[in-house]
Amino acid sequence: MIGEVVKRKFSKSVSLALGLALFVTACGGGDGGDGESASGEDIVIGVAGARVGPIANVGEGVGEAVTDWFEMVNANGGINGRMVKIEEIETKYEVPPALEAFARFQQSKAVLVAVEGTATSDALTPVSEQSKIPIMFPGQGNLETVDGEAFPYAFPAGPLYAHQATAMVQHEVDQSGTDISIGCVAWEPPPGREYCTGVKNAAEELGVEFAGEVVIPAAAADLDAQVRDAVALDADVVLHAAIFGQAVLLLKGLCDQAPDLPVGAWHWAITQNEINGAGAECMEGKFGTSMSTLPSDEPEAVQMLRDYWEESGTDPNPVLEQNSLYGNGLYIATVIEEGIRQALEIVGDDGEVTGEVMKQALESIEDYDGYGVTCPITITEKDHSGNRAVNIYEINDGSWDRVGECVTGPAVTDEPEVS
Amino acid sequence: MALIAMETGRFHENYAEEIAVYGTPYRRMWILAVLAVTFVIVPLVASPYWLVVSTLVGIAAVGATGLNVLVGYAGQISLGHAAFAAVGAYTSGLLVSRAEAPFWVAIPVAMVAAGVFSLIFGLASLRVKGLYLAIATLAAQYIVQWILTSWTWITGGFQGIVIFEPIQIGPFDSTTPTGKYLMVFITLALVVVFVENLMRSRSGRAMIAVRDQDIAAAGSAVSPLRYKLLAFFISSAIAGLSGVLYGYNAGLVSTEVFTLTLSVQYLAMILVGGLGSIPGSILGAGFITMLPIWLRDLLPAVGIELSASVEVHLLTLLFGVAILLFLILEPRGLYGLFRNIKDYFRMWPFSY
Repeated sequence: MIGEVVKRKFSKSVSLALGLALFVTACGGGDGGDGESASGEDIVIGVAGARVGPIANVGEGVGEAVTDWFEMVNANGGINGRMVKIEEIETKYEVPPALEAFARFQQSKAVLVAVEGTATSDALTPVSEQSKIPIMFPGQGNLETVDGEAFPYAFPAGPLYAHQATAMVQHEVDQSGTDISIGCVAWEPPPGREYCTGVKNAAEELGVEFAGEVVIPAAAADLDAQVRDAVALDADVVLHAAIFGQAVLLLKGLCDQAPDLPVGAWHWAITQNEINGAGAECMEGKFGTSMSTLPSDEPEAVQMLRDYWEESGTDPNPVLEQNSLYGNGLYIATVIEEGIRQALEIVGDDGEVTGEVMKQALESIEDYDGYGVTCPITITEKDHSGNRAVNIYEINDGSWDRVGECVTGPAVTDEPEVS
Repeated sequence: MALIAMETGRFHENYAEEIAVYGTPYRRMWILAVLAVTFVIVPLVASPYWLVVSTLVGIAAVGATGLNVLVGYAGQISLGHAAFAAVGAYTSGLLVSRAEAPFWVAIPVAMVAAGVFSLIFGLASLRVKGLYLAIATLAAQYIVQWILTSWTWITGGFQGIVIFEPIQIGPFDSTTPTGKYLMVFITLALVVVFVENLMRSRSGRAMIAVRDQDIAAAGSAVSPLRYKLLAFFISSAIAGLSGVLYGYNAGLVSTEVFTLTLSVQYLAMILVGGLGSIPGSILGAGFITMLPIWLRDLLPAVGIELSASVEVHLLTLLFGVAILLFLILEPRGLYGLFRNIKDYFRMWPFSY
């Protein structure tokens, strides 16, 4: 009897163990070794994706846009004849998987890693410096990384949250003068808090009253209390740094409790989701910033993609409809493309592009507009932001209209001196 | 006569034999082999990529081993271990970066800080058990996250970034993949030796007695108060150490690192690996850390090419299904699986 039990357990255990062993063996073949180029002459770009987890919408929009863009670039003969291989690895916006992904990119001889999410870009900053592979993360937080001398391999390469906030306040002052009060609703994680600090700094700088800040817990599913607190600020304008479902909840709540209150958003919350979720009537007149020109404005980059899709018989990517999410992905893709082009200028069309060459190349980008997707970018050895201007959009008749082009706010108080 | 493989029929003749680490030469051989592979063969043979992955497994194993002291041996549950790891990481990082303390002072202080902080929540274990205690420890997670994002005078800003200065001693450099690997696995080895010995001591046995029946333990002059708090302290100090290792591995910590997800992952590691077992903690850490990598590499290996948007959701689903299947097929975890196979060979060729 006992023997039978032991045998049964053994059979089950061995089957399970063999299954695991076969599984590991099957997966172990993909190493390739460090000295072996996985992609021949291709230029490898890593994308530390975030299609799952708290910023899944960002991950989906950016990931799709970068993939689409380089599919088109490769189909059109690459960059100066060199193909670009996009290697995307999911991180779920968690740091240990991001570190693993970076090591895999390093093994694949990636020359640049695009990162989605402030937490993961922060975490990868030291390893990017140790391995001399630049990381690029436009449209995210952490103001300190604009200083290229302090963080030589970190490239925000665009307006950070605080820049978006100051530009938004500047726009309000341009529209209504300084006799207004501005309140802010922050998403609790650091990027959200940095946005509201930017609003406060800009309000002080421009002589506008800062009415106060309300914080939304990172995973809150009900924002009734925060909506009431925001209304209680009694501000003339409320700006917010909420994202996705929380942004919709906040907007709906504000529409219910203070229908006439002007509300503005950062660039992760000016998508079709907000219009669909909160309702066109509620969203009418709401406004927000975007580091990219929204795809709905049909910039040249979007036209190029549409032409490519038409020629290749492919359906347009539906994620394009998400506006700023996809548009920011195009921003990242076009800056990467320009970086590669500059790198090939340095090493020649058949030369070896390395992470160090890519860093040098990014630092030589000058007055670049990303096929109409970005405000002009000039990155230098010292200034890794290169662009602090954003577009202002407002919802008119149910769609996002550009009402301010490449607006820049006052200097951000805590920003390192890079000029 | 020394027994080579079989433990059957081995009787202890005195207490020293009973508590010996090397019960048989076979066990000594296994331990030496594991040490040789870990500290000689892997650093020499593995690619930098696999050293990075192994380092992540090692850090997770330290945290999981710490949690296993509390959950597996003392029978108390915690959903706040990521918070205790955060306390360790920030204490160590701030002591080095602001107070310019040497790392060999900062690390023990960080462990003590994490341990002491956990005692606040450990006190709840005297009044509540099970799910109620889980919720009490969950409070630690929220409190620490709130402190890190709100008390900017401690962390230096909302990002709460604290840089970990590299450790360089002679040829050892904590910024290289080999340096990180060795730092983590030497620490893991020390933690394993400590916990292994703890469980062979009066304190360890008292924790197990409290886990199995705390009223009976109290009747046998074993104080549940003392040993529950001791388990919280030791477990959280080790979690704090894993936070420190995380900081040295990444080069910095920020406020978004030590999330509730990490606390849940630690629990998943000890459940999948095997509750109340040190090898189980390590196996579980390896399984949970590496399963997503294996799954990701498996699809192309079997000829399945999917778009990134489809692949990522499929992999997430497969990850969940794999854990579920594993727990159904082998609820005692990976170490239980290992024990079943070992038992078979121990009894072979007899079936009982």
